[in-house]
Amino acid sequence: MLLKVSVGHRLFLLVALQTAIATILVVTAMKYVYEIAADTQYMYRFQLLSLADLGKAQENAATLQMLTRPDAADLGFRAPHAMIAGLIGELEEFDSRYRTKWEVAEGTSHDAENFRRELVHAGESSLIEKEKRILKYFEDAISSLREEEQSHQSHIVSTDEVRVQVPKITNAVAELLDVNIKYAEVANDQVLRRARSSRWWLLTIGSIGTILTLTLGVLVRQAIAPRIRRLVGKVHLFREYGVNEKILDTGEDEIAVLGNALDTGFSAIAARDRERDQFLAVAAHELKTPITSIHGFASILAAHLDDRTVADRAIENISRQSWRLSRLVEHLFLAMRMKTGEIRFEPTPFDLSDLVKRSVSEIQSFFAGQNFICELQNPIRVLGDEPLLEHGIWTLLICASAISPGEKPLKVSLVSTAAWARLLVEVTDANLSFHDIELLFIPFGLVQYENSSGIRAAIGLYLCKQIVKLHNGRLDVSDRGKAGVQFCMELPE
Amino acid sequence: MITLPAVLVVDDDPNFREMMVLAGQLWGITVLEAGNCGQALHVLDCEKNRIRLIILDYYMPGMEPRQCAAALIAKAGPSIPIILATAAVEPAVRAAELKLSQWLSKPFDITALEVLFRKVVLENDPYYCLNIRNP
Repeated sequence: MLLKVSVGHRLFLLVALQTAIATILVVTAMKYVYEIAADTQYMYRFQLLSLADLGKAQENAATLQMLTRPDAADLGFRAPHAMIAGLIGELEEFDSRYRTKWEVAEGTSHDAENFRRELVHAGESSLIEKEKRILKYFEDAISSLREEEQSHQSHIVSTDEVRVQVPKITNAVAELLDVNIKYAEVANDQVLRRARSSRWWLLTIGSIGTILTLTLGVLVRQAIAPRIRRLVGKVHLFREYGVNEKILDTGEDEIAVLGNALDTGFSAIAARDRERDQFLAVAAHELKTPITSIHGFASILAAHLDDRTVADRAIENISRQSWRLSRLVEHLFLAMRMKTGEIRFEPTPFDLSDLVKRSVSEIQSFFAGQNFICELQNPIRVLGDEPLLEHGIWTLLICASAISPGEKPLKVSLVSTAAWARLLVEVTDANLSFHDIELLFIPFGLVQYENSSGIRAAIGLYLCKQIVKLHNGRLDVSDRGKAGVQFCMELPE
Repeated sequence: MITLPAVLVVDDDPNFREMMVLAGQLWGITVLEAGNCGQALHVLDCEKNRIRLIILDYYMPGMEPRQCAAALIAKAGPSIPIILATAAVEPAVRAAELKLSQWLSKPFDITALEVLFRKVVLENDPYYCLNIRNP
């Protein structure tokens, strides 16, 4: 399944996963930073400000207590009524402000409701009751004091009720401060817990993300790296030792495509190597055959120079084999040039019947046991490369001669049809299977056996076919059963 | 009637056969020739009693080389040595394919061939062939 996913898609998946993990981490971090900022703001707004206001209220309560002491006059504290009324007013305002902004017990603000839940969660709900009680106590005391202040006006300082209520107020503020300090401690614990939780979540998400990324990275690597190593190994094996082992990558991704391309390339190179080796083997065999005769006759000639008959025979054979060697080299060279597409083609008008007549005449002198019957229409002018066509006709006649039993003559006829010059070579009593005909057209595909005249056809009809093709012509071989084999070369007139 | 010992040359190259026949004439040794395996078997049928040595080519029309060699070995028997003479690139491999242990790689030195012919044919020493690899 994984092999079907392309390398590009795998890398995209890896990058996408990394991006997703990074996004989750950033979003989570931002969320917790926002929460920490909100907690800090909350601590200042709901906890620290209340403590600061309580401190101020405690100061006012302490001043009021000091001014209303029975021995205040003795101590030199003389407070005008307005000052006492002002202090009572400030304490009333504190009560009102506290209940509006910071009361937890019955507060309706968002902060108060949240903190109430946190106190319950932390098991500190008794503080709420305590705060409620203190506030009631404080409210009652401040109300009594206000009533006393309004009824006694300037004599308020010396009343008993004042001396009872002011210490109550002082105590209430002090207790409220204690409660709020505990509130702050609980709130601080909650904030610290949230910060720890944030850290844990960030660490967990980061770790999971890192593990996932590493796992996917390893999976991608395992899916790609061994196959690339295998490819490199095959390339190395081929480069160093010429061993062409199939890569056989069954995937459908880019690596498999690359593997298949390499397979194809290596197969092509190996096929060329085989073809080259085959060519060298055939060329060596073909060249060594006439050389054997030349070498043998030359040795005989050297040993019997005084024997005229032997010398003439040896020289004649050496001459014939040398010519044969030269023709063979030319044909091998031309066939190779044809195969690589480097042949020069220089067409000029000429008489094809003259060329056929000349070729048959020249070949006949070397085919001692082979008779030729020629029926050539004269003249037939074609536009072509005469030297190349001469090679083509030579290889055609050599091939026909090679498969001829040699007992019956080869019939060579040249006729002109509407637009074609047709050269027919008929080999009586020869049998060729379809496979044999196929082999005839493979360059250096086989070593043809010699015929009775000693002419080989190692390059088969490959050269002839290529030359005819170069002239926009056709070359066919047909097995006509008992009538033998017919070679048909057609060239445009 | 006196029958002279002879060498049978089996090769589809008539120039090679002509050269071997001429060399044989000059050395006083009869060289029989066959252009293919069928002809060689026929010659063996008729002339086996005087054939002392067979020089065999690898590529020839008619039979496959292995079939040809097997038929010749069977007909010639162990007393007539068969030497492969080939222009192929790896003569040792070709000889092994044909189950022959001696071979000559074309082109070869004709004076060494003369010694071989004299020893095996005239002196009737078939074991001299064991010295032959590529004279």
